[in-house]
Amino acid sequence: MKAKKAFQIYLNSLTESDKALVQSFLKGYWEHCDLPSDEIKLLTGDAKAALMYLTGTGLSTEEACKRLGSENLGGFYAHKAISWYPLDDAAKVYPLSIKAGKMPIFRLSCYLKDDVVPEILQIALDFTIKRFPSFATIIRKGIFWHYLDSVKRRFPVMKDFGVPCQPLKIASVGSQSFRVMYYKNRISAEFFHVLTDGSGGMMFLKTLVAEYLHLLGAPKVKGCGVLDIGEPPVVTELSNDFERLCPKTKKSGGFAGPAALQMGGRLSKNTPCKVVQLVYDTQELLKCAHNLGVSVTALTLSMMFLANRSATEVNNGMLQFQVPVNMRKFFPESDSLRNFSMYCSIDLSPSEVNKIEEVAPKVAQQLQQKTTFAEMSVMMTTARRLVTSVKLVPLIIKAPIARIIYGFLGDSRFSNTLSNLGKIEMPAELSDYIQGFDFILGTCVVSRASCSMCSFGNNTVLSVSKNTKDPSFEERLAAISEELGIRPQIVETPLYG
Amino acid sequence: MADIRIEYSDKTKGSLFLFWMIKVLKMLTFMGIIICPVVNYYTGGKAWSVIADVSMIFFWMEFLAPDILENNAMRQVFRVGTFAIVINTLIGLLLSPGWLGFVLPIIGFSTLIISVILFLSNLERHRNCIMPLLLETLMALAGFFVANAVEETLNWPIITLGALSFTIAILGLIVFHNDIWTELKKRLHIK
Repeated sequence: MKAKKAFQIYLNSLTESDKALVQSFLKGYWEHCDLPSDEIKLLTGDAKAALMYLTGTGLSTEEACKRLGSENLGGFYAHKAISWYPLDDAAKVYPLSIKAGKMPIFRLSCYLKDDVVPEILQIALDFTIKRFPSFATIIRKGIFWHYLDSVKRRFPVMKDFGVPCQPLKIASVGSQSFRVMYYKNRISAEFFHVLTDGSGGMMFLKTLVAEYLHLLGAPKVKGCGVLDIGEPPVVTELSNDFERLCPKTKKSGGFAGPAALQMGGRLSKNTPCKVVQLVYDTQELLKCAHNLGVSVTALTLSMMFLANRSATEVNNGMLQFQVPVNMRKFFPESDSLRNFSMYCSIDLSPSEVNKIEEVAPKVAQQLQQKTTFAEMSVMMTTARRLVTSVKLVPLIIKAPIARIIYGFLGDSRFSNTLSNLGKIEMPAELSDYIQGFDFILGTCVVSRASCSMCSFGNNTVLSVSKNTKDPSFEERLAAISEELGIRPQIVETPLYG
Repeated sequence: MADIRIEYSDKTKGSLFLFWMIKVLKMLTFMGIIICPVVNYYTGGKAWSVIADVSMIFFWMEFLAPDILENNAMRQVFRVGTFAIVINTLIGLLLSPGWLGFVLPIIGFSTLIISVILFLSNLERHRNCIMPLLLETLMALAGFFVANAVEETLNWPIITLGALSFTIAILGLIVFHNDIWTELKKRLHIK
């Protein structure tokens, strides 16, 4: 009601020609939407709010209407929700393993130099989503496999509060499998892992941020992972590249392995119960890694091994760290926005974890050996064979078996996780508006922490999602960093629950 | 030096009340599922514990550990309708026989009516969720044909059930044949 009144006042303040311009601008929105009337009202409400904001900043009505033109909606809101997508091979396990309060969610955030304008972010999302049709979906159950069914609606942006990576409500007919949030200078997108992996999610976030900045006056750009929202989605972006690009390897392996040594500390009821972020100076981190003769990933893993070692009193067993591997680096022809990652396990016994100088070379060596194309091909082929062999088994039988196997193996198999998205690049024209990015993984069931990192400019953010309030891991991680001369800036969320 | 402004809201929302309440209820229900047959066995008499256990299992599945995926209104109506039929069948068979042929079709066509109203209330959204209605219609038709084969004369609830399910099936095939076909393709895919 307030918004309606405010828009009426705004309309009355315009000249007759501007008024006509605004009326025709809004008519365009009605023409581009074939949704229930409440959804159309929400979309036109977004347009009105954005228009008022832009003209309030001194932009002419004509320029504002041009920037927010209804052609940006494309046919997304006018077409029926008829598309559907089978899950990719990596995503197939997620719906089988979820339970209340435990859901594989990850968050990608972009930190701007200025505070976020919610009205502009909302309309930017309204415009961007059409380029990512596989994200505008909800997961449903088939007889043999789950699948993603498209949803046509306006996806709201929300104010961010509480701890990141909380489960999404995906049970109802029109619910969504991702959410976009804002808080002060941060734009965050959280995804249910069935939709995409970190790389696909980052493309979405970059494109959303680019559109947001463009609506605020930045130049229109594409490249460096920013997609042109005016172009139709490419078919291969939506494909299951595990199926499309699976190498013809005869060798196959297995996913099972012994249970890993876990950190101490009571598991929290709310997961994650806390997120701790260590912000490093990228140059210092690189210098430290080079001094040790290893990569930044190996250095971080080594620090994590040492911190993990301090966070448990048990000495028997193996410390096993899961490291996701982006398969796109082996298949440059892949432009999939779906999941296209496998993982490797870096294993050390607690007796081997004493000094960083000793740990780092061992970790680097394992990383090199276990992330080769040959190793990953074997894993990819195994996954493909597994999926193919059980495709005719009804979900009603597959689901409980998968839940039991996942319960035994999936989570307890690893002590910790490190997912490194590496260096994030944005087109030079937008770099001035951005401070940095971060990447947060949701927690697992048994592992007490999951780590993720990415860097932008001179900021490298290592995020630790906690499943226990015991702070020994992150405290030791910070202490080791300081010992290495790479003092991080530490940010943490309040303890949740 | 790193230069990024990362801030989080101080809000630590949520209490653990619901979490603990569900835990306690789960424990009580689980105990109930075990205790009822034991008490029934030792006290003898009719097998009331079967009905109690089925009800508690339904309570567990519906309220204590509900489905995270596709737990929408259409499915809920389907599940409640199915539960009502199962529980009434058990009561009819185990405790007080003689009225099943009358009550079951009433539950059947009531569930169908509610589902149709719900389906039509938001056609665009429910178009992609036609499966429960399809199953209900097929089950109702099957029920009608079984009754028609077994009974000499049909009572009004079974006639209503048959007429209603037949009408819905015909109208559905005429109006929504594309949606039904797409839905079947999606639900049966093996990719």
